[in-house]
Amino acid sequence: MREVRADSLLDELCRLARLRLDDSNRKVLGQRLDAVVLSFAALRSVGTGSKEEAPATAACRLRADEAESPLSLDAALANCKRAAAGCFLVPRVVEG
Amino acid sequence: MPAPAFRSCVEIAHTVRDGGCRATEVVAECLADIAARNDSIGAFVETFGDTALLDAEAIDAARARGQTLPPLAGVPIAIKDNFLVSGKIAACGSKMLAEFRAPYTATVVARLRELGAVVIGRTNMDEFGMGSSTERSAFFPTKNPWDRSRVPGGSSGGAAAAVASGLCPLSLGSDTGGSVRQPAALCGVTGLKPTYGRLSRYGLVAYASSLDCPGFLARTAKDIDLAMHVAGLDPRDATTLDAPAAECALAIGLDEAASLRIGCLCDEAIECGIDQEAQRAFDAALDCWRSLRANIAPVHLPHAQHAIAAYYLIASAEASSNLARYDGIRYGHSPGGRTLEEAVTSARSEGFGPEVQLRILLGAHALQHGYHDELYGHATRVRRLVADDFAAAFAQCDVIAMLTSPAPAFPLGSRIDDPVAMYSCDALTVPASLAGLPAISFPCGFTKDGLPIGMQFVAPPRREGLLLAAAHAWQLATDWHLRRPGR
Repeated sequence: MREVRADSLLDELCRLARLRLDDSNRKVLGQRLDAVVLSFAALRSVGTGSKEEAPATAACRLRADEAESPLSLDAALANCKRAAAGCFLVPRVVEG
Repeated sequence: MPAPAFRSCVEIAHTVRDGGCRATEVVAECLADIAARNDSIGAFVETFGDTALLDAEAIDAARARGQTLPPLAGVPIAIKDNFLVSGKIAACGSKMLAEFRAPYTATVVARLRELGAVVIGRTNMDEFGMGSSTERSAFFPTKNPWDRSRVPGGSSGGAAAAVASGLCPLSLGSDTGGSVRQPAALCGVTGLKPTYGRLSRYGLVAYASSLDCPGFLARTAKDIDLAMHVAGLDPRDATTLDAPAAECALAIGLDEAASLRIGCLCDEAIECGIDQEAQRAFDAALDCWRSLRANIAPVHLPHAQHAIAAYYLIASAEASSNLARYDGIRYGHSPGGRTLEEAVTSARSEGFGPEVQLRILLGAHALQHGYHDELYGHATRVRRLVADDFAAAFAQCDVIAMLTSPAPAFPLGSRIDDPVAMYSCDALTVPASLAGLPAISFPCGFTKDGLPIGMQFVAPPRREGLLLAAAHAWQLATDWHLRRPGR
């Protein structure tokens, strides 16, 4: 397994995760991430042959979702910081 | 008369049903005890005094009308901070959700209330369930009631410390990779992780959806047996098992429980630096089981040593996906920003603590293009091997025994900067989690310094009743579970 501390890889992970790390956090998290990934290196040596990926559990049989009444508008908006006209308010996406 | 919480759930419910005391008295005593003692332990983040007393009054009123009371009538229960209780804050130990009020109630909580349990407050936890020490709460660390310079385990550390210190008799926790069992072991209480799907996850804030299980912590297996009546199908959780709650009840007689075929995990099976005192306590416990007529034979789980790596890759991958919902727009920490991207990134960077950020990054890496099959895909195939190992072992035994934690409670701060050392705490609990199997931890001894040690039994799917019966038989034959920490 490769180290992930390399700037370009860590930048890409932060972009995917939508995280912004300051310099000290970046150094600490990069080191910890490397340590964790390297400690998992032995996993690669496990032969899995033609094994299929495991389902969540053998005891469990997935069923179709059953539609329920959705949250009321008031309940849905109750925890957001910015709302207007019954909608979540976000920064302008299209300039103009 | 001991504080209400040092009485068992069975005893409290029986007394309330028979009119020996009122539910309001039990709950008021419990709340007063928490107010007096919680600051020194940090088990509760918040108590629900007003609503708890209203619920207790309703139980007393029902009894006054001559109604038959349900099995948990008047039993105070603490709820881990990641279960939704309508109108209450569910913060998941995170700054991200510090002000989030639940818009509905989790199925297990609703069913506990139907059974008469009174929800008295929410307990501290590692942020989003990511930790083994409850030091990763954004609010404060929880301390081990047996030695307040040590951790209670995690992530349900508040739940375990609350029961161990006698602040409440029963706690609802969640177990993704050991978060009920490991703190139960470190705090000297009993903790059950049911079969995946046995208890509904509806209203449990998601960490790793293919692994998350609600579970219970109490002083005795008999009390957990009472609480397991909340099990069963939930149309709101498509993974719940279509099996009656009665299947979870103490399933076999004491004689049969004591004469179990116990498969003992061979010493070399999982390299995780097992503490010598813990190993000696475990060996002594096996001798005690032999004296109870159990048959003990070695079993092999050849891939269990790889369970930690597989678990952390899978759980982190699922977490990176589940936690993508926290964008600061619909709920959660929301510092705002000039652009949508800036607003979302600021919310996540300020709202999540360092361990959550680490696991999101690890999960993003495991799912990243070019690494997916090498990391996540491979881990899920190893998960299958671990499950197959258990299935083969259960052809030779009824339960598999091992320590719950490689070591007793460790000092606060001693592992927090070393994720590899912290993750190794879960080495003995994650194999059952990966296989979706039920497992129970119960006290089996103490170190010379007075720290509890827990023994873990793992059973085939849906055999919670067997685990509870075995632990009950053990607790009739021993008194480890009756010891109490100093106040």
